[in-house]
Amino acid sequence: MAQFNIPDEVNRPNYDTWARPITVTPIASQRGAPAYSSRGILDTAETDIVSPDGAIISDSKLVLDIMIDEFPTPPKQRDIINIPAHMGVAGGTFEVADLIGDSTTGNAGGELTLVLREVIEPKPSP
Amino acid sequence: MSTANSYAMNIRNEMLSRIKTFPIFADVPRFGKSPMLTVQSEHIPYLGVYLVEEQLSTDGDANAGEPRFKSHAKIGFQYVVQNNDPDLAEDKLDLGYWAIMTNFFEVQRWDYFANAVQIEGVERGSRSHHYGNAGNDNRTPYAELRADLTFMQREVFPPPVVDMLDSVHVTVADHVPYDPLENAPLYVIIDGLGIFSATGIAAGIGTAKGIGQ
Repeated sequence: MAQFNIPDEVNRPNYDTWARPITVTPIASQRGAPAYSSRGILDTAETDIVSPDGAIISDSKLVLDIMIDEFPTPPKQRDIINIPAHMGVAGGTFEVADLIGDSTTGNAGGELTLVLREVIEPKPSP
Repeated sequence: MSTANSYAMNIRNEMLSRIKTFPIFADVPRFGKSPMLTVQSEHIPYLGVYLVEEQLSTDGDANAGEPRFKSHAKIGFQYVVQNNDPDLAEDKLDLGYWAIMTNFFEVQRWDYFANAVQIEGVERGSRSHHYGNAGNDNRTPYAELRADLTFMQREVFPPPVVDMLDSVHVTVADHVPYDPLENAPLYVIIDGLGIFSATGIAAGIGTAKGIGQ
């Protein structure tokens, strides 16, 4: 039997330490609803786009971890998430590209990981 | 471009030079000739024109004469844009692809290149659109066109002639032994040099073409 309540005894103290404020505009998960504030832990890692002829487009993977029970309706793909600069770390505006796990069980520890895609200026311009 | 470079490289270089002049690519901050350098976000929209590979097949009998090849040079194109809207991103890729095809081919004598390189034909081509990495979990909404065209042209590698044929020694006779006092003179035609009297020996430059009397 589990010795700990993972969401409350392990993850939530981490969120109290490492989470940063976010604003979710739920254009997909709650169409027409206003933006709301919450929190999440942002993380990034390198990932490249490699074509068969060896061309590499350098990029990164950006994920935002959230506690599922802090969201009455968890974000969905294409929701917009604004992450302001916080504690010396830059933020930005992103859209949810993917969810790792489903929005009910997440990572089975009360967390849901959102894969973010940066909202950028189109190039070339429209 | 240089005559020191191969024909395929000349084609790649001049194709890139021409493509740079197409208006649709006016705001491309970086063009690439090879995929050696990674593409960073500040390089978007990015256009690369690469020599992907060159295959050589024999031009004529492989075992007769100097090496002669039909060269099949695959020139690859990589056009990378960024757009959060998948439909607009795809549209930009298609516009880029079609600009290359129409602006390159719908020009008189498009097949003539510097250094006497001439493309004889376009054998095949392909294109595909890609969106991000394999997991589609990268941060930037990149969309990428990968296209290629395979051009056919010929390459001949004649040997250096270090033992030039500059004289021909010909002996002709219709009587053996030949006596110039007893027999009518003979003539030998040396190609390009005319008719020579052949009083036993004729010398000249060229190829013996025929014999007359």
